[in-house]
Amino acid sequence: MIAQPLPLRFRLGLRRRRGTLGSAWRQPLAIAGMALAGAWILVAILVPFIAPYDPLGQTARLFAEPNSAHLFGTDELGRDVLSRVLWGARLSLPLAFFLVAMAVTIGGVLGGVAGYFGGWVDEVVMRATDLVFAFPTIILAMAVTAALGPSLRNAVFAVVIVFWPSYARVVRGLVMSLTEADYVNASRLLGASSRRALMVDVLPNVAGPVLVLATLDLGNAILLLAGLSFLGLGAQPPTPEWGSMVNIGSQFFERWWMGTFPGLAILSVVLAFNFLGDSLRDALDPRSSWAVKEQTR
Amino acid sequence: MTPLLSVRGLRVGLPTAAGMVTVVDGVDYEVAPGQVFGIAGESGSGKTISVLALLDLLPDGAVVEGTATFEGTDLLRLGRRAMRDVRGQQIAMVFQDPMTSLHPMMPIGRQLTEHIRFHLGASNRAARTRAIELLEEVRIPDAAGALTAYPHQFSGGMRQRIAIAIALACRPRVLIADEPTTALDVTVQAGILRLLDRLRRQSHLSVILITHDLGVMSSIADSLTVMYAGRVVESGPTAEVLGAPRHPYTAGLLAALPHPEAPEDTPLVSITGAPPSAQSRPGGCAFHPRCSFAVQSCVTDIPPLVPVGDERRLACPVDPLVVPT
Amino acid sequence: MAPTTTRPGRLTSAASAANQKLAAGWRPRLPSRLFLRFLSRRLAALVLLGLGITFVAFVLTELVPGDPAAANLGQRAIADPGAVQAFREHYGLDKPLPIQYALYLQHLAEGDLGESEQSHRPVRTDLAEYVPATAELALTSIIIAFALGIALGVIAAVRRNRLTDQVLRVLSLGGISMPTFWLALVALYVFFFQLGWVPGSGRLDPGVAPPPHVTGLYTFDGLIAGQLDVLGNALQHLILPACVLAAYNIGLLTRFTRSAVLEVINNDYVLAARAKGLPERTVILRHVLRAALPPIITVGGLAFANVMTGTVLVESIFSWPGIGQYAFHSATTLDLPAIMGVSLFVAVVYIGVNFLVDVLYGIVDPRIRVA
Repeated sequence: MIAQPLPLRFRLGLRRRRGTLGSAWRQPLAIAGMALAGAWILVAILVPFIAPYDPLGQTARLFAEPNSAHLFGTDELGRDVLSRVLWGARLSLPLAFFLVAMAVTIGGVLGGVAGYFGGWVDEVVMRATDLVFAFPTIILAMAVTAALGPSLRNAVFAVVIVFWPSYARVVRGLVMSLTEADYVNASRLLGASSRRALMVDVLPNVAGPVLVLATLDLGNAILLLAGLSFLGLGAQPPTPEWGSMVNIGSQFFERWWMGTFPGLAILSVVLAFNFLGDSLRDALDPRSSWAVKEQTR
Repeated sequence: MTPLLSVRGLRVGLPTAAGMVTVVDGVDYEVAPGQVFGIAGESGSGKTISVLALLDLLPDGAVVEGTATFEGTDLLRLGRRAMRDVRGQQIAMVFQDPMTSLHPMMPIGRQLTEHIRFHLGASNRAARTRAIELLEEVRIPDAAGALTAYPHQFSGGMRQRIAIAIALACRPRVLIADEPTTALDVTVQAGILRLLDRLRRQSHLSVILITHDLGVMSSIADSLTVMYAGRVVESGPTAEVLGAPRHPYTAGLLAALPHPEAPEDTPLVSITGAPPSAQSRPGGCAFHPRCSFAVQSCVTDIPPLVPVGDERRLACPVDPLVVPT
Repeated sequence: MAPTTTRPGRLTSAASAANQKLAAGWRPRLPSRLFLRFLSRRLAALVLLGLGITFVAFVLTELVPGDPAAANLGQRAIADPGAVQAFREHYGLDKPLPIQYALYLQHLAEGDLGESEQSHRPVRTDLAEYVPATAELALTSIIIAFALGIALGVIAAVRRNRLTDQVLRVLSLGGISMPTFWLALVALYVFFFQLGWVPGSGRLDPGVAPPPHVTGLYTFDGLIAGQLDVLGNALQHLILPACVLAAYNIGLLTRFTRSAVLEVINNDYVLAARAKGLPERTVILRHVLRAALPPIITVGGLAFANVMTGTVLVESIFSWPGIGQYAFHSATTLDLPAIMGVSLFVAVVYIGVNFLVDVLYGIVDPRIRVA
C-alpha cells in the first residue's frame, strides 16, 4: 500500500536539476548581460585602437563640456574623459577577473579541504571566515589597504581577502553534504575510486553554485575596487580608474560629466555581470527566485 | 430526498509545461444531507482535484467544465465574492497533514476566530467564546489556554482535531475531509474518525471523505465512490461495494489488502502495472491495460457510468464479477 | 521523546516534546529553554568574535611600515624626544609582540582607541561626536529599505512572471549594481543643484539650531522637545542621503522577499486560509507575509553592513558629519589610528546587530521561541 500518497500538486522544485542550462542562454536578461559584458570586454581589448585620445594626455582645454571633439568632455587637466573611461575598462575588467579567480581558488581549496577533512582544520577555516564576515566589506578592505599602503595592488589583495570566505563556505558545505550523500556512497560501493566519485558526482554539483557566485562577484569586485579608489586607497592618479575619476568628479561638482560617465561605466558593467549571474542561478537552481515554472499544484 | 450537492460531468484540466492535461475526466455524484460520502482512489486518480474544483481552489490557468449544484446554485459558475462566502461558511475543508495545514506562526485561537469574525461579523469576545466551545467539542484539554498556543505544541492527532474545529467553526453544511487520517498514527486514526462521525450526527453535517484507505471507508462511509484515472468506475452503499465489488479495479484493491488472519506464507496480491499519470492515460477504459477481463471494446470505448441496481452504478460493460443467479 | 539536540548555530523545533506537555497546559509566553541556550551560545561566540576582531586590527597596525611614533606624533617627534619615549612606553613598542597585543587589549578595555593623527584628539572622542549623525541616517535608511523592499517583493511574488515582476527584477538588479557614491553625486546634482527640492549639505540649515541633546538624533530630539520646525528641517536634510543609502538594500530586499514569499505561498496553510473563505489580501498579508518574515529578518544584518559601507562612501558627499565621513577623511589622509578605531567600532556594532537579528528571528518564529 502507498504510505504517503502524493497529492496532485506540482510544487516548485520537483523539476530535474540539470540539463536546463541551454534554456538559460535564451532568456532576454542573459542575452542582454552577455551582450553588454561582451561589448566591454571588446573595449578592454581594443581600446588602444579605438580610444580617440591618450588617456594621460593633458591639453589646454580644461573642463570642456561634452562636445563634438570630446564626446564626454575633458577633466581638470584637459584630458579626454571618453578615452579615460574606455581605458578604465582595460584596467578594471582584467583585475576583476583575476581577483575573482584568486578568491575562488583560495576559497575553494580551503573550503574543500575543510569540508573533506573536518576536525580542527574545519574549525580553523570556519573561524577565519567568521572573522572576515564580521566586518562590513569596505571597512575591512579599507583597513587592509590603508595598513599596507594605498595602491591598486594592495587594493586587489584586500578585495581577495574579503571575497574568499564566501567560496570557502559554499564549497565546504557542498563537499560535506556530498561526501555523506547516498549516491556518492553508492558509487563507491559499486567500486568507483574516491577520485572518480569526486570527479563525476561531487564536482558538477559544486561547480554550479560557485559559478553563479563568481559571476556575481565580478560585479562586486568592480564596485569594491571602484569604492576603494574613490576613497583614495586604490588606484592613484593619474591612473584612469573609474572610482578615482568619480572622486575627482565629486570635487568639481558642476562639471557633471567628469563623474557621471565613469559611474555609468561602472553601473553598466556591474549590471551586465549581475544579469548573467542571475540567469545562471535560475538555470542551475530550479527553486530560485526568477525561474519560470509550472504553476500546477 | 433531494441531494445537497449534485455534481454532473465535472472535468478539470490543469496547465502543465506539456500543455493542458485533463486530470478529472467526467465525474458524476450526489451527496445527500447528513451522509458520509466516500471517494476512494489512488494518487493520480483526480479525487483531490475534483473537490478543489468545487471550492475554486485550483491553480491559475485551470479549466473547469460541468456543473456542481449546491442548494440550488452552481458552484462552478459563482463569482469571486460569492465563492468566498461559500468557502468556510457553507462548505469547509480539512486537509491531509495538519502540521502543514495550520499556520505555524499564528496562535490557534486566531486561526479559529479569524473567519468566524469575517463571515459572521462576530465580535472578538463572541468569536473567542465560540472558539473555546469548538475546542471543547473536539476534546482539546484546557481549551481556553490552548487559544494562545501554537500548532507545534500539539500532537498530530490534536492538530487534526483543531483543523476540524476550524472547519466547523461557521457551521457549514458540507465538510470535505481530504485524507484526514493518513498523516496520523493508526491508534489516533480511530479517534478522529469517531469524532467526525459524532459531529456529523449531531449537526446533520454531510462529510465528503476522500481516502485511499478502504479500511477507513468501511468504518464510517455511508456511500462509496471509486475513482480511477479521473473517472468514476463504481459507486454505491459502502457495505455493498466493498462486500460485493463489481468493477475489476475495486475487486483488485480489495484483494490486495493483506488479510490479518491469512496464513504467513500467503503471497501478496497486487494489480499488475501501475496507475497511469494524468498525461498518459490509455484510451477507452483507462483500466484496460491492467484488467484481466478486458475485451476488445474496452480498448476503444469509454465505459459509461450506468445504474446497476439499487443506488449502485458501474462503469464496466463487461461486468465480470456479478454472481449469476 | 526528548527534544532533538541542536547543531551548533542552528535550531530545530522540539515538536515531539509537545507530547510531554499534555498535562502541563500550554503556557506559551515564556521563552523556551532551548531558545535561551541558543542565545547564550551566540553571545559567547560573539565575545570570541570580538576578540578575533581585535586581533585582526592589531595585526593590521603591526603591518604598517615605518615608525608608528614618528607617524603619529608628526612634527613633535622631531622636537620632543620625551613625547616619543612616552609614546613608546604607552604602546610597549620595545616589548615583544604578545605583550604589545595584551597592552592593546588593555587599552581597548579602557576604551582607549588611540589618538587621531588628524584631529589630535582621542579617537574615542571623535567617534562619540560623530556616531549620532550616522545612527540617525542608518536607521532611517534601513526603515525605508525594509518598507519599500518588502512591499515591492510581495508585489513581485504575487504577480510572478508577469510584466510587473520582470520590471521589478530588472530594477532590483539595477539597485544592487549601482555604485553608491555615484548615485549620491547624481542624486545631489539632480535634486539639489538642478531642481532645488532638497538642501544640499549637513543635517540642518545653517540658521537652525539643533534641538536639546537627548539622543543626538535631531529628528527624535526635535520631536520630543516639541520643536516641530527643527524636526521638519532635519527631515528635509535627511531624506536624500537616506534614500541614496537605501537603494542597494531595496534591491536586495525586493529579491529576497520575493523568493521568501514564493517559498511560502504554495504551502498548505495558505490553501487552507483561502479555503476558509478569507479575502486574498488578508491571506497574503496576514498568512503569507507572516510566514515569510523570519528569513527576511535575517537580511537585517546584511542590510546594516551595506548601510555602513554606504555611509563611508557617501557621507562626505552630503557633508554629513558622521563616522562615515570620519572614516573617509581618515582613509584619504591615512590617519591609521582613526581608520583602525572606526573599523573596530563598526565591526563590534555589526556583531551586535547580528546578535539582535538572531533574537528578533526567535521572537518572530514561535517554533523557535516556544517549546
